[in-house]
Amino acid sequence: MLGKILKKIDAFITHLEEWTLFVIVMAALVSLFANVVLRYGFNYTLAWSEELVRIVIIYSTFIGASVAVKQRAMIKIDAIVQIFPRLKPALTFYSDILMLVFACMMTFYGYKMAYQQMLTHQKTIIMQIPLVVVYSIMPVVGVMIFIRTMQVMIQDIKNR
Amino acid sequence: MQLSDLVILCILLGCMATYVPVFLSLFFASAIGFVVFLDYPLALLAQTLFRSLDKFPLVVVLFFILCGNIMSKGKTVEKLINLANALVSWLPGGLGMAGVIGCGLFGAISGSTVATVVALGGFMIPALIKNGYDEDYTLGLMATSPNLGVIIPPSIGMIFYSMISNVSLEGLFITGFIPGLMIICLVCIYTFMVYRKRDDINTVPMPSFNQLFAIFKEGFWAVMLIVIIFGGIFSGAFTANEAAVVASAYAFFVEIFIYRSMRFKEVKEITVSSAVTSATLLLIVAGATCFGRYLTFENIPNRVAEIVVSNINSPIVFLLAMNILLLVIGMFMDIISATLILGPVFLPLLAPFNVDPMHFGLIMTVNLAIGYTTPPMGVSLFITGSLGQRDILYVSRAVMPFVAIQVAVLFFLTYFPQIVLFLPRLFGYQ
Repeated sequence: MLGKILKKIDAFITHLEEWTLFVIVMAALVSLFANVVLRYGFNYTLAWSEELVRIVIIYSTFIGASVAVKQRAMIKIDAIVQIFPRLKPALTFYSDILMLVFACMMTFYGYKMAYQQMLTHQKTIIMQIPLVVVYSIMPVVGVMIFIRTMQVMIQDIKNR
Repeated sequence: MQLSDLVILCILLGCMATYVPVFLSLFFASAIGFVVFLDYPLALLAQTLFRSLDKFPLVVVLFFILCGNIMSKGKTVEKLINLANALVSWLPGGLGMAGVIGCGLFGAISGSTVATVVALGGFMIPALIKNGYDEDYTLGLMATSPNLGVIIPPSIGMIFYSMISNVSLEGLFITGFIPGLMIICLVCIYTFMVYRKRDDINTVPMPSFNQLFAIFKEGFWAVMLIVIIFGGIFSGAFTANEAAVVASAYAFFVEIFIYRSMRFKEVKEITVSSAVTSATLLLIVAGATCFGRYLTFENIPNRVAEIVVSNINSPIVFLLAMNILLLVIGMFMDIISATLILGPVFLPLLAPFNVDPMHFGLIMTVNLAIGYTTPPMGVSLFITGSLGQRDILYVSRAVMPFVAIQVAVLFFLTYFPQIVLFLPRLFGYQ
């Protein structure tokens, strides 16, 4: 029963991650491309495209981080693991623990930062998006990284 | 050297050596530095982490990766290899030359080595062996030539170097052509020398004009992509950012509507996987920015500069020392981490020795690119080994002549800055 629920949660998060990444990257691509066309064709620039792209970079990097944890795609220096393959499980466990610590820090400080933005009601200059929306990606992804890391650790223990 | 520097260095290297993700190692090393030695709040570090990503120029990373991925998943690679084949494969050792030229062409679209190894190695290694080329030559060639992916622009390593050094990215891109062409020519000459008198190799007859024309027509759309990227950047019509965006849009257009090799599902997959790859790189940027903050607060780059300047007094010795140091570092660290971590420490050293930052950027890129193919920890060696079903030792021996060629080119570049800087100056980049 619990396994089924966990699987559903996993599928849901994966879906969410992939679609968000796809939509925001495409939005950035289209807006920047339109900007180039408009500048050459009509001598007109979209003022908001740069702001949009900056938000897309922040979002895609953080959400991509969560996916990378799950796919084990983080860039690591694997010299020692290549030479002593027997150390790999222990070292992976240890680096996963550090990742959990990082996820907690990200959630905690991200929440504090987002809360600050909410109190001051700041908005982005052109599109008038409340900054709290931009900043709240940090605690959200903190939680997501935590879940993903736990998932990877459980997988490792099961496959032992 | 103070005790605190030593402790932080040990923490950083210790984390990186023990399989902790690079960005996490950087983040924790700076977190400990902030709390223990500087007594600054961690919230400042969290701010830095967030702010370091809030930069428009980072978009170039995402879109050059996207463009390279579209190309290697679609049909463009195949067309480029066909083109390279048609041009040289009738020469003695021609298929080998086609391998390195194909890598060069692909490198002119893609900015990374790993993508090039996988895309071309999987295709060329069986082809070369089937046509009678020696196995060690084949594996050596296809493990080392993908370095052209980072050396020939667009190049991820150069993008990050230009971010930390404020050297013009377009100018830095242009410097990559001369070493790229030199490596291609030298490898072709080497191949010619080895296979000139061998008759156990299948060569194809020289293609007729009509055949050549047909292949050109097929590969036209792929070649146009290279024309768009470089024509746009060199003529000043596009910035590098815009070139990356236009190239991605064009690549999608060609693969979906002209080669018809993709449907919506693939488009989504490629976009997501590119976003993830770029995220893993940008996280290192964020980590390195945090660590860079710590370094500046402690004034470490300037202190390192003082020590080096007081001990080394000629630019020739300095560049030699840099090259050896970078070659050794490249054996263990990937190009992006190395550029982002070491760049800020090395940059203050350039002015006292009168080294142009643009020149140094090229040296650093070529140098760390060679690191992909040097044992013990060359990513390309592992991938090629698994593609050719040989162990790492065999591949490490096989790459030696090719690595020697690249190191020779590197030293040539190091001591003739006029040649490196000739092209960018011609196009007006300082």
